[in-house]
Amino acid sequence: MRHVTIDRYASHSSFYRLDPRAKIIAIIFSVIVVALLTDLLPLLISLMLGILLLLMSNIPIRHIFKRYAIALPFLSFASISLYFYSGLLPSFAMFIRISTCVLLLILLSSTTPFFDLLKASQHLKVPKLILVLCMFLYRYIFVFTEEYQRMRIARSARAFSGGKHLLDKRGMQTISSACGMLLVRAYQRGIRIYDALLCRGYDGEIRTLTSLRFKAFDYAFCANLMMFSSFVLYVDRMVIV
Amino acid sequence: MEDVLFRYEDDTLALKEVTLSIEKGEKVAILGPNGAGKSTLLKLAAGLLFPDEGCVKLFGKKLAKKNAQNLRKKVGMLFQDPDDQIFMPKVWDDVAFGPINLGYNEKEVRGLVQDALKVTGLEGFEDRVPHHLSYGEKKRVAIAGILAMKPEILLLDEPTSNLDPKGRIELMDIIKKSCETLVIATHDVNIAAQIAERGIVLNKKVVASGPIKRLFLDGEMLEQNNLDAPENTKLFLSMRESGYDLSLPLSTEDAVSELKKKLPR
Repeated sequence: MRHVTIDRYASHSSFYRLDPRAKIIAIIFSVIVVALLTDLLPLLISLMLGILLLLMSNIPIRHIFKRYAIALPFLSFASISLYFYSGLLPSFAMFIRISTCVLLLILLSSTTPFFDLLKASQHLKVPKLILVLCMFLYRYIFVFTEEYQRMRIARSARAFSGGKHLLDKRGMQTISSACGMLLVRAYQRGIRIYDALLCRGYDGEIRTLTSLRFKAFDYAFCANLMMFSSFVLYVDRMVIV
Repeated sequence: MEDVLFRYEDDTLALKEVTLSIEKGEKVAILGPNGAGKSTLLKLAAGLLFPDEGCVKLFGKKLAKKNAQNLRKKVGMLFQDPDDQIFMPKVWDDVAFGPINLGYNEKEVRGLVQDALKVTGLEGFEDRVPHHLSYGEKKRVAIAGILAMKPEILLLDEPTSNLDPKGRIELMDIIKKSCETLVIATHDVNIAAQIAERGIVLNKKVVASGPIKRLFLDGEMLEQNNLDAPENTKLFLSMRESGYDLSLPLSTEDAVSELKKKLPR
């Protein structure tokens, strides 16, 4: 079965070796700064930085574009609606601002395996419940899609071809009962997983060991990116005054 | 287990008048048709379910909701579907899950995980993600996760179902060297014959119990419970019927050595 692989490029990347905490701190800091920028010039500088970092990261450009394309409708909506209120320049600035943030976050998520992001977030005091939910989601989304794919294949093996459009009543009925079935199966699996958790000494808390080490390179990366962002922010405020 | 009765939520009877005991160091096979209550029996023994009547004792102590958490620590249970059992996003973290919960320190955890991965032949799989593993590999990860907890008794629910022949052989080898006390629930009599010394035939209640060789002689009882004797045993039984003086083998190796003794080259 084919899966969506969100971690596909993580280990090829030149930023992979960085401590995920360093990446999270530095990139989130930059994202906040970019969100605060008002003038076009500093925004363009940040965009250049974002693009430069992505080029350095060895992630295939196609992959970056695919990710960016998902965000495109949202950021177009934001900037177009701004265009009607305040004109072309602020709207363009908004477009650049959100694009830069999205690109920076793509950098973070494509160069860090998902599980490492969670572990690092735990160190950075993100609530555990959220992390555990994310972890189970990440683990079981594949099992879930596989289960649905199996049902779909079983369906088409018995000559089902409906459900292509919303008016196909019989097809929709079949699909909706399949969805219900999926829900029941997920519920049953949930119970079995809970049993398995209990068998392995689960007491309400997921504990993990991490081998995260903050090295000199991580400090350097963090410091550089944060200094650069601060500088851009300074320029931004200076230009305004 | 004494006189255990268990009903499912919808009131269907799962187990009735089940009394059995398993001693330390024993290797026991629970045989029975589909729906005989094998899985339920294992869950009762692991303290995941509690009987409606009767009582289950574990290591001499009566299992109740209060002490189940503690007693469960020494019981390893392998579930049928490895996807239910591997819940961490990486193999290493999954195997480490149990030992961390048992309160071992970091160094001990690393040691236990490494040993477990070695026994199951999974060295080099540490950073793999479960959804990229084959079914057989998942099964091995699930076992590694249990072995890392050093259980005193291992409960296996249909361990070989859905495995290809090679995966089955590998798994059997791992299971054989994994734990002193084993309870294996299966309807695969060939597997049961290879691993267990004692057999219990279960069909809502205990139908028969005893040395596994003797159980396989009772063809009528096996048939009534949708079971069958292992192929080797059947072959030798029909040879005996045609007048050959042969003792009954359980494994192919037994069969070969018995034949070598009796047959001229």
